[in-house]
Amino acid sequence: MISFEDVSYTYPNQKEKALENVTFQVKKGESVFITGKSGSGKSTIARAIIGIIPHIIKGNLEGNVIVNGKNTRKLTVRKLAADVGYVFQNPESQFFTLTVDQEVSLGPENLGLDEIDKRVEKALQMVGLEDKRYESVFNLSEGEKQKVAVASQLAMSPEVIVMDEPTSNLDPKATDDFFNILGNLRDKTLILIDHRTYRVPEIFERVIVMDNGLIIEDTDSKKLSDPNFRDEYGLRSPERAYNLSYPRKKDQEPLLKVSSVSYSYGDGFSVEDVNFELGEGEVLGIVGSNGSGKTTIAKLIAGLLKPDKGRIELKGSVGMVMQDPDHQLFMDTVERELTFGLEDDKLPLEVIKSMDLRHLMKRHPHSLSGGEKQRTLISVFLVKKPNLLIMDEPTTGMDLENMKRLVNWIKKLKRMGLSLIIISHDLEFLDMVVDKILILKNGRQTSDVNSMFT
Amino acid sequence: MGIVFFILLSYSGALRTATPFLSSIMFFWFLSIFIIIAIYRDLEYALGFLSQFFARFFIISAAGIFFAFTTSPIKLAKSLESLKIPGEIIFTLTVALRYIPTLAFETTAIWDSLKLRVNLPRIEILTKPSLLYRGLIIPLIIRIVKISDEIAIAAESKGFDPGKKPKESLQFDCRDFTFVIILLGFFTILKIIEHTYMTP
Repeated sequence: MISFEDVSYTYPNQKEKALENVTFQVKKGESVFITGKSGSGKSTIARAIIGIIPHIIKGNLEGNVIVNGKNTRKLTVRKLAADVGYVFQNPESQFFTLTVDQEVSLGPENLGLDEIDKRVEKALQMVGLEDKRYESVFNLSEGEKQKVAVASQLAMSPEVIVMDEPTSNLDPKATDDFFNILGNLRDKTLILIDHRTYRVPEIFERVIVMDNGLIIEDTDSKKLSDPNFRDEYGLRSPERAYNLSYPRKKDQEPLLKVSSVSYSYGDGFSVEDVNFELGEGEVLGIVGSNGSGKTTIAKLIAGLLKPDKGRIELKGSVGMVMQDPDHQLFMDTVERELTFGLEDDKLPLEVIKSMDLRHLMKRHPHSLSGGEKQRTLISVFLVKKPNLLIMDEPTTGMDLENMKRLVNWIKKLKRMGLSLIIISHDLEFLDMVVDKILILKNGRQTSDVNSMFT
Repeated sequence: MGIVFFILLSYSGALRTATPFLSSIMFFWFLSIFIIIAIYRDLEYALGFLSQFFARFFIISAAGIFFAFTTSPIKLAKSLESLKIPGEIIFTLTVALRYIPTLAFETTAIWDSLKLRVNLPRIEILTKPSLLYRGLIIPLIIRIVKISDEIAIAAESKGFDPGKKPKESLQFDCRDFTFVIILLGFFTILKIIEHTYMTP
């Protein structure tokens, strides 16, 4: 069904190859999981399968990529759409219409397929969204949006579905729902690209591990259950390995006290009666399903929103690292980012050393990797010596090596006496760093850990 | 008209995204009134000086956001195709239309990020053009380039071909009819006001 024949590829204006002599075949109906470190070439493979490379991103492509007997070099992305479906990481950027019905019927309409109404109905049934057919896409939760993205591909009946980190923005329940849908697509050829290996051996037959543009392992996905195999390639466990027994630290004089806080956006969504305390050097994890109010709580603490009711008492200042570092970086070098707004323009040498930024000082912030951008941004706030640092989904798209590195930074910050609030769906990551946990469901605080999965 | 579009925005589910935009216009509106009062000590002059400009800007912005959130890019493409507009222009226009809600969301997120980053009140940020340019415009350009590529790829990967002849023609439906009635009603009221109170 898919064949890579000695494929090498170099992105435009780059010297190093993103793929080097890659050769592999995927049979019809086979399900393949492709993983590896950040920048190893995983997403480049996805782009080559759906024809983005070489038709939209030009670069230098050598060798042949054959999909369903057709050479992708000779067909445009539009022409390949009938054979290959593509599910992106960010559901919002893959919608082109306004309602679920329009979105799911768009592909079949464009391809001139018959029985569009039945196709839409069947695709929505497969993802469990029949009752949302005429809903606006803007009113859906993140999990529902990703389901619509899958349904819009299923409606075109492609032989191959390629998914690039489709669950990285989803909560645990939505992730489970997503994998349940994949489990029912046994007749399709599935390609999943991700750092996380959760439920992979259950759904996928084969795992390909990449490093520096090369395939370094191609084997049975059951190997992912072997800790030695995972250690060898730096991969995460397919099980949800965490211990949710909190709190781990004794209560102390609070640095932050949130008392009976409520806030309403005026569009039907609100957070109600939230109460918690956070001590100096403590780390609080905020978890809950997509749209449960986690970021709203963070914005209230950071002062971006003002509570309708209740009180937020914070001894000292607060910094917040948003989910997407691109939003917060705006100078032309890392050095200028760090000194921006400082009265004396003096380089914060201690922070630069402790956050390992010395070799990046002259680089443009937007040319850095995701992990480096995040470290720069944390440093920007550390320079201002806040008492509390909030981090929103810091591990999105992060491989195990970078995640462990982030865990070490957080532990270092804790030792420096900084309190942290971390919003994340990644329970394995939270388990490594947090002392307390706040669980939200539909804007309400709950002590029921299982509410994250139901 | 501004109130009508505000209600329609609320109904379309876009209010949360649109509010920061519209409240900024309102903010500058009131700011201009205060500044003119401070300079000329004349309330009537201050109310009239820039109010018409801001009122128009508010209505155009609200209407633009409402249009982007409620007009299907596909329907727009079909309408333009029936007018024999070239496919390349239609594709650019529809991607741009689809991009407005994302742009509104990104602007809000970057504005929030800027406030957190510089830890200054809104008014102080607004009075520093270099900070506004660096903190708002540069990240926005970077996000625009990244996301617009993704949206275009999403459209192409669903076989979207704006150059293809549409199979079905668009119908004038109930919503269009209601909108025209509301619009005509408003223009009639404005005409009556003009005729009754403003004609010498």
